[in-house]
Amino acid sequence: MRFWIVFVASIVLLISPLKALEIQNVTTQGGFQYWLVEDPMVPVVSVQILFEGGSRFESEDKLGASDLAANLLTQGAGEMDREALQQAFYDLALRTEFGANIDHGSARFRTLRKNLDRSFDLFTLVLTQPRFEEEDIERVKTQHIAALKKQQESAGYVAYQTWAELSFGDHPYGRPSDGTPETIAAVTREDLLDIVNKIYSRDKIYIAVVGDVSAEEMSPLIDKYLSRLPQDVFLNLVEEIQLAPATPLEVVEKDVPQSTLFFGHQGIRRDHPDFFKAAVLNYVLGGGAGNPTRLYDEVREKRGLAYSVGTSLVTKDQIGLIIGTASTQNARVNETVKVIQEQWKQLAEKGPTEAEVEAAKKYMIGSYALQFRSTEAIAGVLAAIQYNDLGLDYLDKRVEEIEAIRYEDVRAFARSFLKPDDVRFVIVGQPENMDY
Amino acid sequence: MNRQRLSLFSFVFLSLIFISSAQAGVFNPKVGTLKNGMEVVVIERPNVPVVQHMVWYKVGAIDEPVGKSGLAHLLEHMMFRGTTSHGPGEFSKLIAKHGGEDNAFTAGQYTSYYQSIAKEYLALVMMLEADRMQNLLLRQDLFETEKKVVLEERNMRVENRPASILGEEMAASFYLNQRLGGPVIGWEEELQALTLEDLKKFYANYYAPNNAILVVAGDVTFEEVMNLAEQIYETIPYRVVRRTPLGKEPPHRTTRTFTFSHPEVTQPQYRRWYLAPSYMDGESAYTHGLQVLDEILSGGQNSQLYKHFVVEKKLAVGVSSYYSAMTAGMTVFSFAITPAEGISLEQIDQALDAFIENFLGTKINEEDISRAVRRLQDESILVNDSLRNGPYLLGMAKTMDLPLSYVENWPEDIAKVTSKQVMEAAKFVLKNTYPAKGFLLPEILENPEMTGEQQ
Repeated sequence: MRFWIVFVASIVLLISPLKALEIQNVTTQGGFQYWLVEDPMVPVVSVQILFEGGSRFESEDKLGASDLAANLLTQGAGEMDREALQQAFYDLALRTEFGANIDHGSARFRTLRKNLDRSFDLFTLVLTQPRFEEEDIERVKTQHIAALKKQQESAGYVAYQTWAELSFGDHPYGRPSDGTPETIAAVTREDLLDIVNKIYSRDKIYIAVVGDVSAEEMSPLIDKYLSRLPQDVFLNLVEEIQLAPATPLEVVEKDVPQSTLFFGHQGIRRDHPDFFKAAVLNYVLGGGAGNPTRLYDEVREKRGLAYSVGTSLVTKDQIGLIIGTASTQNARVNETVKVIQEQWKQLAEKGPTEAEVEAAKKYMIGSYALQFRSTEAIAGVLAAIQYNDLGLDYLDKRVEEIEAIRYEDVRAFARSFLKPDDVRFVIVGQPENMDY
Repeated sequence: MNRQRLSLFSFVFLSLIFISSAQAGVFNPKVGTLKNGMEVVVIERPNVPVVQHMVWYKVGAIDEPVGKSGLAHLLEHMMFRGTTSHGPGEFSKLIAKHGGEDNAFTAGQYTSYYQSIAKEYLALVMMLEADRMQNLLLRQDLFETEKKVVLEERNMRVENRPASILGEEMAASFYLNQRLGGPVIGWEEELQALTLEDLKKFYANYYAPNNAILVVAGDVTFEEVMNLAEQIYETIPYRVVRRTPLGKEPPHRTTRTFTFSHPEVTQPQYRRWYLAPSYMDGESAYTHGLQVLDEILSGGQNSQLYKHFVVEKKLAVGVSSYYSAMTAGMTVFSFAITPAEGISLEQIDQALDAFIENFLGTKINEEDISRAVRRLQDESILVNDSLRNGPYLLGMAKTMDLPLSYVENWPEDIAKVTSKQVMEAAKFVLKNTYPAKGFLLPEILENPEMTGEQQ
């Protein structure tokens, strides 16, 4: 099929290269700094804010309080009761999302350009003057508890949560962050007000704005509305932690024909100089569902053991992980675990091939743009780049760093990064004839 | 008199603007047809750094011969397992190597393949897609493995999820006569029995250019796409394709109840489905009224259902209605309710009856209608804030031969809906036909005291 290749090459030359995203770094008169990508194609604006701090201060007996607070923010604020506020959100086609994990808080909204001022106004009104009326608290609590129950039906959730509890020990990362029916019931109005003040405060925040808006239009709005946020010094913890020792394989019984596997071990954090080498190794091993990887080839394509199998890198403020998931019928769990362990070991000991490293690099460079398909998605990426302190030129720097990765270096790094003996599995289901 | 003339004038004037400006519709596609009958739809979106390339085939689970359920979907899987010139898995490897992503999905009436990739590789994906439209390998050993993969997919999607088991049986029994509602993934026994020969026949029958639609969205022009399509897809010869007729669905005159208990259910669920017209089948005049009805009933937390069930009566923690007019054959107007702690599904069932009766007996405010319409129109702007939506909706419309004006003119059409029409549509669907009801429950444990008494 040589003819084809020539044909492709000639067409490629006719088409212009990829356009880069133009990011403006804006400082307002009021001293707020934000990143802006102006995109007038669709009359929509998305704003994403990340707050240092997160929900790690939640006390054990009130776990899930920050989630509860996030859901209650839109149930009335300032002069507006639940109904009035919901009506305003509806009429503005305003979509908001609030929440926090252990490391950071997050607040974002998407709205139509014509409704930007009023939307931003309401977005910060709910963050600063939530009503938290008793009736609303009770209702949202019952909804939250019902959602907790439903969560237990999800094998994927149970597998992850069990793995986290075993692996993180007493560290907040291991807590069921959505809480339990008991801890949710214990949350008071005062707790909720305290949490909102702590999480959504403006000392250390990272802001990204994407859509049909200019810096001239946006800056005054940022000053006007974000200056409402309280100031409360509450910063990230950065000290690295180690995973607690744990058994290599744990089974959680569930009456279903297919078992769900969650597995992994400690990795590296985002600021580690070898981060992209780890990303290459992850890509070769199991780099996310759907991509042709070693695990995908061995588990799915060759043996038909699973529909989905993949790995990914997780980077938290205090730890990095390489984790994976797969699901297979109860009778073939043993075989699947063995295949995964064997692939982990082979990649650790022999490293990837040169072709694999090159393919991974090409994918990592080329696919980055796939994330930029909506204003919300772009705003999310830009806020995360700021949060991780990667710099305004990150999009270019990233390409250079990946291109500079040498095959030999990845091979050497594989031995220290991938630790086949440390991979710990949690299996949810009824696995049969296990060797473990 | 004067006013009427003015409005007539503005109507003519407006339609002139609509013709001359390309920005009147929702996605503003440009369309063409290749000489071999393959249709082309292009959505030009400069500034988006990637292209979305899709090929939709007018074939799905409804075209499977009796006893061969799961065939269309299994063939979709095999489309990734190599052609005469590309080895198994090579398709996805090539896409990934160029920074792209690819996948596919199968439904009752269509099968769709898509790739997202930097625009300079559009020709590459077109050639790969054109290759597997005509040169699929279908090897026995790969087929056997892929069948296992699909059985695991069935486990994951259905067997492991009690809610899906209930949903599968409700859907399969819902239609009395139309070839709709059966599981696209296939019944396990029939899936096991599928042969390579079945796949070969199905592939030969339906994978023809004249049975396919090419949709491209992103930073490309219509001319660029047509130019490439003429070189790459137009060379594939036309073949006669005959789709399976759906049949006509009679009115539903009995209420049917589906109950499923399973020890892994932790949160009971209630569902109710009514037979409803779609753009393509039944009393289509009601479709826009039903869309507004759905919005009034469950759009947002001030919707009628949410206010009634969750806020005021505290019977439920979640409630929704759902309706989509974009299907071949008849469709469903559905309700799903998650009861509050201590409320039984029977109570929910009765409460929904009472709610519907009350709704049908009360006049709807014009203000509520125009509010819902405004929101729906806003959604038709927001839907453009993602490259995926346009190709998805327009491609799907094409697979059922729905004129694209149904999508493009929708914001204007929906604005014409009156409160009277909403009520008529609601009565037509909720009063004249009988629903299917679904009860999902935790396993009911035998009461030891009762057993004792019986002894």
